[in-house]
Amino acid sequence: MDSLLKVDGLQVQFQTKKGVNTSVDGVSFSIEKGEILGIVGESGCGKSVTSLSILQLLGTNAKISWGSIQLEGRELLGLSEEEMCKIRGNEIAMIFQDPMTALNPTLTIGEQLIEPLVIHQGYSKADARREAVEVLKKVGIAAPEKRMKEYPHQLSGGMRQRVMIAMAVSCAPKLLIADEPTTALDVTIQAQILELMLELREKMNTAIILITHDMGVVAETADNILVLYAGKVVEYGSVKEIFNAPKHPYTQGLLSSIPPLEEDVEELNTIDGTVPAPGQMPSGCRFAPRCPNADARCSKEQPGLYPAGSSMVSCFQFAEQG
Amino acid sequence: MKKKENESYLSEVISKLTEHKMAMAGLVVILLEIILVVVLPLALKLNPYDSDYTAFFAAPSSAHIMGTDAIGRDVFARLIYGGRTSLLVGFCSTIISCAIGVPLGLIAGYFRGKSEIAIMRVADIFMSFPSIVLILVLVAVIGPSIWSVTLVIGVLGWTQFARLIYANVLSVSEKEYVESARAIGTPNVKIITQYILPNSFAPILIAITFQMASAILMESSLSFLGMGVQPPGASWGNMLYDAQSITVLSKRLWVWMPPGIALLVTVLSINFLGDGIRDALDPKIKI
Repeated sequence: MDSLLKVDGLQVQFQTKKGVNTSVDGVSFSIEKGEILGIVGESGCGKSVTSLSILQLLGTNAKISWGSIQLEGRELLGLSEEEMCKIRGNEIAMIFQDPMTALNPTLTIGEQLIEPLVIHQGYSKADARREAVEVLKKVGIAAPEKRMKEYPHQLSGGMRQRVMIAMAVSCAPKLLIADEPTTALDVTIQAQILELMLELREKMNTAIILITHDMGVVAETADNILVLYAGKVVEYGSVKEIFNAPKHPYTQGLLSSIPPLEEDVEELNTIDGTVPAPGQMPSGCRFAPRCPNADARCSKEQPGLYPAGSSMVSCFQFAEQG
Repeated sequence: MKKKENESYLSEVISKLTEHKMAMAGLVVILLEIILVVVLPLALKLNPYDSDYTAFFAAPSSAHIMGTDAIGRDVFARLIYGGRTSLLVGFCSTIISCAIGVPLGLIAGYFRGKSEIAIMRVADIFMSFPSIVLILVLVAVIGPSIWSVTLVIGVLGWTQFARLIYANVLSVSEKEYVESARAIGTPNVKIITQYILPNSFAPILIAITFQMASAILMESSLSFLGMGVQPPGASWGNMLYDAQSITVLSKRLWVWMPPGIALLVTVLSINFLGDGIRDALDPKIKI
């Protein structure tokens, strides 16, 4: 059987004044029903671009130049805008980072919530309203009838994120893309929102792509992890494997930069340097300039993805073993 | 139900607006003017067109409370009827500008690409003509009348709205709620009418007031030059026409002072109101 979502060799290019920048290069992964895939990496490594590509919501200056994105065996690239509209919100939904700005300030919560139901499920307004109240209950909002009539500015940040989630799951999508859903929330609310997402996964068997740079969040929720660096996959495997035995030097660096709880440390571990700017990518392995183990080969050739344990790793260290 | 919830934002804006003294003064003056020009011709027997052959350039008296003009027409009656003209031209031409400019600005800002280039470059071309010359030529071609003036001012005013809306749409389109609307599959038409337009409402409202003030001024200028409302029809602009003569300007103040002051007060009031609305709608300004 086909995977729920299969992304193969995705390459996204941005047209800029200085030329063409490739921000996502050869990213492949797949998700099964009910799976949670964490996509992690530093800012600017292509996490959000990857997720926006799946919905084809990239700006006019960006182009998916290569690759394939299949939802249950159906190729999404090349679908018309109209056909994509039927998929967005219905089969694949998205939750955005900042709930403070992701709701329309001029419409009530209710008016925004019934939108996907009317568009995709062909509900009448009255039916959609009833259904929306149910969805609000499902995401744990008290007094949903009352909230339906309120405007976004009358709700707290945590509540707005719940509303965002309600909006996203109202049509029972097969896949939910959550782009840093908890970054803008405080820690206690973060935990509640993650809890809610896990609960929805249980109830509705929704697969979730969780985009984050918070390794703690991924460890708690995800089944598999895709580590991106400068638009390329550096490591892809199960949460257990990656947290217990990170293989790529970049993943090791990310994990070692989490402050340990048991002991006090003078200084946090960091990875030296920054992500190379687009247009200034090294010709070899993109992580080579920052890699403690880099040798001459790393700065000349690009590594492929090699199997290591149950993971896939993009590092020459594992090239021979495979 | 919807109304009640709307009140929280609207009532805040309205209370801010009511505290804005200049805006309130402006609003009162404009409303008063509207009432006067609508009610007075019905209530009193005003005759702005016929000459009183016994009184040319007559000073204010009990028969003509503001005197008469060069051919003996009652200045007060003409002032009221002229007000009708000015306000009518102001309203109607602004509605025309708005109806053309807002949709074009929305399209250019939302769809970008070719439509953006086509619409905004045409707007640039329109704006690079000296408007008074263009309007004079167009009115001369169509033939001067109150309707041709309204039409020409209205049509040429679209660029103000288009540019303003365009700029605003560019920033609103980048908002996450627009992206999230697209992510749930909302069709473009709905995004424009329910997400972009309501969030561009404030600049539209402000542009309406300023456009109205400038349309009234433009109509007066045209009438003053003899290319607008044609006598015997009354307009504040063609009443000022008489003041082209030095003797009238220096000796017969009653002929040109009333329309001049009316014009000044009207335009100032509308601009004050516009300022007030801008401040009230801007959440960053605390009055």
